[in-house]
Amino acid sequence: MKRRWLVLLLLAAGPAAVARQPDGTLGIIRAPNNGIPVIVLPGATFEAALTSQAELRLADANGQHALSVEWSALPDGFANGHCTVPAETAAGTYALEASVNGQTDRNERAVFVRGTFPDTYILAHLTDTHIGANRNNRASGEVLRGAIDVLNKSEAAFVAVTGDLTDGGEIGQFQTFLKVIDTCLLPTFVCPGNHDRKALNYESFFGTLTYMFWFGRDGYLCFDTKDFMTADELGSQDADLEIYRRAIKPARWSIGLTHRYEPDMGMRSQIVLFIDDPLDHLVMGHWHRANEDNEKTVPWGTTTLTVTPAAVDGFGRMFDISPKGVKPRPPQRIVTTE
Amino acid sequence: MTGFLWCFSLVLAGAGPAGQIAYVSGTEQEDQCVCIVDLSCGAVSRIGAGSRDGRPVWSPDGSKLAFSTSQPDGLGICIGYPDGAAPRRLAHARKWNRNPRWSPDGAFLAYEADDGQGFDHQIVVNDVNAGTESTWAGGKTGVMRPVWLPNARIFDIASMTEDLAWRDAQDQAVVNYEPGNSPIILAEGLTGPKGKYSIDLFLVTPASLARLMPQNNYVEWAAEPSPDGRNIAFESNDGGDREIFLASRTGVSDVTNHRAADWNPSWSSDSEWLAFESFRDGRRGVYRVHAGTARVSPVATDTISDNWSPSWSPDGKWIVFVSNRTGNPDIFVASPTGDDVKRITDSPGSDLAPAWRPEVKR
Repeated sequence: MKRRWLVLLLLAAGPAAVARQPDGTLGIIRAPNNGIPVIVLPGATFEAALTSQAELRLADANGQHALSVEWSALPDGFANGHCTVPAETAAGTYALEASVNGQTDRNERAVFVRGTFPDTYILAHLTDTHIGANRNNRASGEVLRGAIDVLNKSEAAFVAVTGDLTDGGEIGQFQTFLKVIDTCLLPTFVCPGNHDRKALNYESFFGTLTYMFWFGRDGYLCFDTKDFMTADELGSQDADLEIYRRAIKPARWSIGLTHRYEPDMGMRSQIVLFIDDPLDHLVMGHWHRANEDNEKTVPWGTTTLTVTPAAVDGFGRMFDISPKGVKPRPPQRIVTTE
Repeated sequence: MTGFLWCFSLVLAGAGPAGQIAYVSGTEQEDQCVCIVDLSCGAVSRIGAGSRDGRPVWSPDGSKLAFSTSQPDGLGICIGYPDGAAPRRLAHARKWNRNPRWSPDGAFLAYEADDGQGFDHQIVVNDVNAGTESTWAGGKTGVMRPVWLPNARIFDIASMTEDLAWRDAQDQAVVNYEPGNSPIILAEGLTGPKGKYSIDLFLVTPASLARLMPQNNYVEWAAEPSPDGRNIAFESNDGGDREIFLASRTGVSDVTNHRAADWNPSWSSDSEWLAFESFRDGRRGVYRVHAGTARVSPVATDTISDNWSPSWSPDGKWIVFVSNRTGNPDIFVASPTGDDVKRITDSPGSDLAPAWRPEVKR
């Protein structure tokens, strides 16, 4: 369980990018990656986690931008790079590249540079993509590809995919998920679900189970507690939740992205997320249907809950985020499954 | 999963922690297993069932351990033995059974049980020899995390203050406790209307439950009575963030006041000190506070890693805790002043929830 140190990296400007090996698992660059990217302004900073110090640069079709990096040590001999994006970097999508000892590692879609963060924007929510499942006439990968095609034409700022990315947590299913998700032109943030828990496969592809990121003045906390059922009792996860929740406390809106919430999940997690400093909004999936008439709520008071039907069935949902609040639109069928 | 790292130097030094420490070890929750490390030689033995094993709790005489482990469609309570005897699974009426605690005489286990239908937790007491379950608190639901009171010292009814009294759900004082009669369990219970829940501390008997303190707007958790029975440590968000408070016959006081969260109090065996977790230095660290003076001092803190789950040695000279300072969580011990840190385990997975074996009475 070499994942705990990764969560140290994600506090300052947001999460970092991940490099990948031929089988799709993480390589020299552990974070950020195409499931936990960073969204930054020119001249801003972000954190990168690597197996060792390396030369770091942003790369796209137009060339490369060397990054100014301040290194610090992480537990287990890993290195944390505090990276500054050159001020002249144009807005766009970049790969993060690392070179060390003659080896180069590259992670696509790891760093998204924006000219500005708008006060009003759209969050696209997909959940339960269940890659590998045979639920409909169209293959789950095709359905996701179709959904991504629609989102690429939308005005969404980024996409959250909240768990059950795969149907069985198999290596091949994660590889397929990555292949499809890399067709997305928008940043894609993922978290695990119960179907993704097979050995440490999820961790080998995305690194950490719990992280936070900023989009402008809004703070997002991505986690999975219900299916990490011993975490609360053993203290495995609650420090990350507490530290990230405190980190995004100044946010205009604090928004949790998770696979599922159940009232019988660990109380420590609920105290941190919904009682002492309640998140403003919680976005989840798992049910494969919407939360009809608010049949379930977060029972501690102020955190509102939205459940989106499954992407494997062709559904998704948009959220309007503005100074007025976090407003979920009705779920919509964005792609056919026939 | 060996703990030989410090043993050689320990032999040379001729001093150090002694006894046995139980903990949970595994690479993921599916293979988490309760283990025991013998501090005299570093040898590790697997005690648990090895499937989602939870936090081990020693019986008062140190002869056995209770912990939760997988059962069909849920978790059940298992009793493990340090002598290597086969673990014994208790039979349960409900699917999810966790947070076991031994009664002071070691004859009973209390735990919370539910069927995974929201807040339907009940307090169940198991007669370990007979293997029979009984539901306490008159069968009321929404009651969690039981812990036995060691004695009735805190309930000197004659001197009980307004801050500490038996209260029913309508906040009426209900003094029906008979000292020396039935054992008492302390537990956390849901209060408030559906959708706007809070959590208060309750005293639980087989037939009833009553508030420990007057109803308030704060959420209490992690109550732990001192071994001498004179104080109850608990968490509350009274004051804006989570703090550790002490309740005694003379009132209630905040003993860890800080703007960062403080939680999970753990008593020393002499009832003088509390070890606890705090985020006051950025990451999660282990601290201790003197119950009488409320003076806080660090035990294990770090700027880039976490330290948590403190538990005292029976003689009070050491604190065992978990740290991920070397990458993945391992078991360490330190003196209460934070000096003389020794790494106890070095497994490739996570080693968690350490508990020092009580001194075995012969």
